[in-house]
Amino acid sequence: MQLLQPRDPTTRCARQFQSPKMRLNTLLSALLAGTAVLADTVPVFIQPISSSETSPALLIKISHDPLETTTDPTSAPQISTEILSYEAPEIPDDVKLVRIGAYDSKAARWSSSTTVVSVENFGKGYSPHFILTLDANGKDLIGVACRGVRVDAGYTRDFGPQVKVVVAGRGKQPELNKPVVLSPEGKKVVPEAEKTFLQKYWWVLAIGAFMLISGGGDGK
Amino acid sequence: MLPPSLSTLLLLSLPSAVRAVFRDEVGHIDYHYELLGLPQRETTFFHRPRRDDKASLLYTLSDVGVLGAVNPSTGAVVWRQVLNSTGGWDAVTGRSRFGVGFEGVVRDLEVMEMTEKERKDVLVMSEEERSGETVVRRLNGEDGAVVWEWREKGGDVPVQVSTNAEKVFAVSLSGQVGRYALRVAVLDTLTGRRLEEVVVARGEVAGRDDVMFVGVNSAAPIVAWADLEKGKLFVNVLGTKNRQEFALAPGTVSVEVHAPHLVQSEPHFLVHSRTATGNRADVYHVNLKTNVIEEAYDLPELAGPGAFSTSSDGANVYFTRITDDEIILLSSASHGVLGRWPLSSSSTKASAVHGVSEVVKKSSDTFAVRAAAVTTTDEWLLVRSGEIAWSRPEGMSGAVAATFAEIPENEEFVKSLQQEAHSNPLEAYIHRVKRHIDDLQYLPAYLNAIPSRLISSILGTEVSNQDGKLSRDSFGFHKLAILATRRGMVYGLDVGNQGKILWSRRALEVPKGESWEVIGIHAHELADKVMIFGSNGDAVFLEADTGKVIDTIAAGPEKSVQSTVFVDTVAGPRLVPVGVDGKISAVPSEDAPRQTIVTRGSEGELKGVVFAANGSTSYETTSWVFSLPKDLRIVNIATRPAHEPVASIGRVLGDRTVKYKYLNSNTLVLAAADDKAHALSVYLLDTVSGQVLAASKYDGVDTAKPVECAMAENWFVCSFFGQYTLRDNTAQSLKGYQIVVSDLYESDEPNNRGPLGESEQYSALDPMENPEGPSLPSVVSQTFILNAPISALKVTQTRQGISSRHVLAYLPELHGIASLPRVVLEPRRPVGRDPTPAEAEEGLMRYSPNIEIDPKTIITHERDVIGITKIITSPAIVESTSLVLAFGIDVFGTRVAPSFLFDILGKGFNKITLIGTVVAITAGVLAVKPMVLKKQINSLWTAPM
Repeated sequence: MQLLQPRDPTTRCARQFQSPKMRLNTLLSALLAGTAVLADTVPVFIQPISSSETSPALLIKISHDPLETTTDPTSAPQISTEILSYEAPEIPDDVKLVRIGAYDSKAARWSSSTTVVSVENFGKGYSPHFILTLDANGKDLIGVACRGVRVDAGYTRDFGPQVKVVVAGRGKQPELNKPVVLSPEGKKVVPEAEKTFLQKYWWVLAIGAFMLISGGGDGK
Repeated sequence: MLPPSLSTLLLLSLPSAVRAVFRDEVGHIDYHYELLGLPQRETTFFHRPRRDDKASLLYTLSDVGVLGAVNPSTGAVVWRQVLNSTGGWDAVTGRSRFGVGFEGVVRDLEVMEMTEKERKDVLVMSEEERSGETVVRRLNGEDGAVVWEWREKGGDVPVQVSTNAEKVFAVSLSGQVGRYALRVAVLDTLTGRRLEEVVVARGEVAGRDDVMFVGVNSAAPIVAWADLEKGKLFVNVLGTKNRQEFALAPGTVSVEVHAPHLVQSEPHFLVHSRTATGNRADVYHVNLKTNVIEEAYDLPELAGPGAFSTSSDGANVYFTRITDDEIILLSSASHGVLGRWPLSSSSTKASAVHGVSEVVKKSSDTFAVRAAAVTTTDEWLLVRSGEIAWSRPEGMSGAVAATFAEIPENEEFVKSLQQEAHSNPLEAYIHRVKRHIDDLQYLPAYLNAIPSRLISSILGTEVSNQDGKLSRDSFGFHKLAILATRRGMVYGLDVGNQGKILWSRRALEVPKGESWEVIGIHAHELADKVMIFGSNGDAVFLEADTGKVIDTIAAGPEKSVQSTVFVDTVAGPRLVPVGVDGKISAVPSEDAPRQTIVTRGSEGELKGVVFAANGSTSYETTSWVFSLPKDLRIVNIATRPAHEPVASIGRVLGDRTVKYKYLNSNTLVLAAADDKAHALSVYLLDTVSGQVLAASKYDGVDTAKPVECAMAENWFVCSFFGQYTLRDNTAQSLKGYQIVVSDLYESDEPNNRGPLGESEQYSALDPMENPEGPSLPSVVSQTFILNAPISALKVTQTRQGISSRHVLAYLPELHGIASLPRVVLEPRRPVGRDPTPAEAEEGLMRYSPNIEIDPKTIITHERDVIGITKIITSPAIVESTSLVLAFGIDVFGTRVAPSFLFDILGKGFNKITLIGTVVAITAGVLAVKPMVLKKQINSLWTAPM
């Protein structure tokens, strides 16, 4: 039962493979950020769970890439993703569950955590939605999950596979109180309230008004 | 009129005052076993803490590392210290005098009774494993300062240090492993300079454990080692070159040497040898001039393990022999029995294993002896003149697993009810009428009991069971707690009766130095039995109420089981053992679990295992694998409790919108530490599909310190120690113990249930019908800084989940258990501003970054509870209350009411006033009734004007 052999010869050199659009995207982000960032490609494989051992087959190749290298540590990195290839799986009839995850075909082992879903997710009328979970740095892959979603023409026209990236959140830190500022006398300094435009420049207006009123006579 | 927000705050602050344990509840609702651990033979002694006072205390350093003093007349703990370093403590108060920190492992410690100064000093022998050096230090007994230090390279195995007031002897093993020679370095007491070196017993000693005894502070300290195979005992007087050889009784399995610990005492010692069935002893004298050892007399062989102890009074040395039925006092000089006290027969079921004794000479030929002995049932008892003065259940320390069990109901009643359920209606009716007629015989007794029950109810006293039988109560407070210890003992406690020990049973013989690794303890409600599983594949099945062993499964040679899980099968609930590498054996299809079992793989990964049928047999198949990213290791896993009803699926916000809780029972929280990057990653996993539902990473975490997580309902908490600068303000940094609480909701917005909507069924595997696509739970987190480290997190459980929940946590530095309310651990508390009226209505308080653990929330109040490793909770029948049991070294149990006792009348409720008022009003009505009647009749008869 070797139905699930990888048919895409490019799988074995996944890192070199880049679509023209992808290259443009990389170029763009490189221009934006000033540094060249190579997108990570995740080859997601599928393996039926059955009593007979079947080797995993390529399902989808997704490249993910931080949109810009942000130096602000408080915000989560924005990730751009792209589907490089998708191959609808062919699964034997007696299989009910399939295993999904990133697979290292060279080492012949799963390179990420794997999840399990039912075969119906890849059935007719459903479009697969992939969820990539990345580490907080936005690069390392933790796990891949996939769910088939009912195709509804009233909702969207894009019936192809979708990819969503979830980046591990940065742990919440306590919100400390602001430090108390003391004056040299040891008293609490009350920051002065910012003056409004009127408070600051009332005299200009006053002069203007005075000039308007006083300068009204044209010598009659 | 107060502004609404203020009044709410006042209301909120009220509970903390009400929450406190009332004085009259202490000892009524809670119980505490203040334990020391099992005393060790070498580190237990009587000692007079005040020189001019005759009263002595009983000191011990136990096998769980607790140093303590016990009052020998009452058995009460005077003071206790959990040891984690070398130091000196005040014998009277237990306060720390000094602490010393040295590199390496301390191998032996001796007190120098006589020094050139007034004080007593301490000799410490330690082994520095890094440099392979043996170090002997003399410390000042007053302040711990090092007087001198002697170190030696050479890779010897240090054994013990000894002194005879003139010289110090450092005994170590040198040579090949298994064929060591004993090397004694003789040191000068004043300077620590080596005077000479003596090597005895070349190639005769197998290891450190073979050296039976190294005497101290005696006029002639000896070193003894045995060769049990040859049946020989070798003794060397320290400092001399020759060794003497004595034959042991045939079949001897263990030898102990007892000698006095006073320099003034006669240099006599006793050799206690045990065979498989009995024990005997030989007394030897050392000739101080010639250093020759001679046998003085021997004691006959008696059955049982027996225990000997030494006590000295000036030059006189006494040996106390504790047998199974009497205590015998002997003098070391001759074999004449000085005193004999038969043990009261009913009091002891167990034999003494070792003991200490104190002998007081009353007159020339009358003596008084008190002996504290450790028994085979892990009890520590004091025998005074044959009578047991007190006994301490020290075996209960070192508890590794516990569970609550229901008190078994009358079996016949349950049976007849089942019979009724399974027969046709008419038969059932007849059976029922018959049963009720049968029950009539109990009516008189019931009627008789009414007055006493009424009176006790009014006066608020406990209704005691006349027949002393265990029975359930209507509140559900009466339960059993079953406790398994690492020494193989199992205890049954009556939770409703101040935790009284109902029974104790040795379930397993645990070899010395090993411990029983309990991986699962389950109380089977229907069968009234408790099942305890060990990691070596062993199992014990006990009756919950009597402790009677129903069945046992013998232990295998090595660790073979990782955990045991309860699963649903076609044939009913079943227990499945999981192998060490996560392997589960194949089962017949009808016994195959329906659920996914989560196991730990051989590389530390987490696996989901499902069973797939192939013919009539089901085989395990790995469904999903959660392999951790590189460098990470799992430090804690928390799941939702098995019994967890949820009262409300949503939270009503102040503006009358609802946030729906994400209630997925197939989830677990996993905390993984990265030691290199000092980071902690917390993942929420779906245990059916293996999907990561939420992940967050905390930087600046000390991964060497414990990380603990707990999970309940739609939230989880994790606590850790962190030190970092804030991301949003790099000028501020913080350091301390923290707790993160995360709430899970179905969607970010209120009134939105997300793609799942109202659908009743949910599958983590099947495709989604909603075109919006898959969604992940919305996580709201908040972090608080704690003022003390916490451990053993556990969430309270109540019967219907209506009461709010508290997080119970042990405070290892404060020796108490705190009950942190969920209201405080609330991620939605407004930050940097006061709550709006709508928020205040919801019960939200203003966020403050730190949680000061309020002494009023400490449910152990003034009790000093040490060494708690785990807390378990169980719901009572009344919704308000949750039963709590904490164990580790101490055992502590109580009841907590997180939302207060709203369904029970408090003790302060004055029933007498209530009944008095009712009686007075009834009397008033009766008195006024004829008058009113008369008036009415009169008014009827009076003609209208």
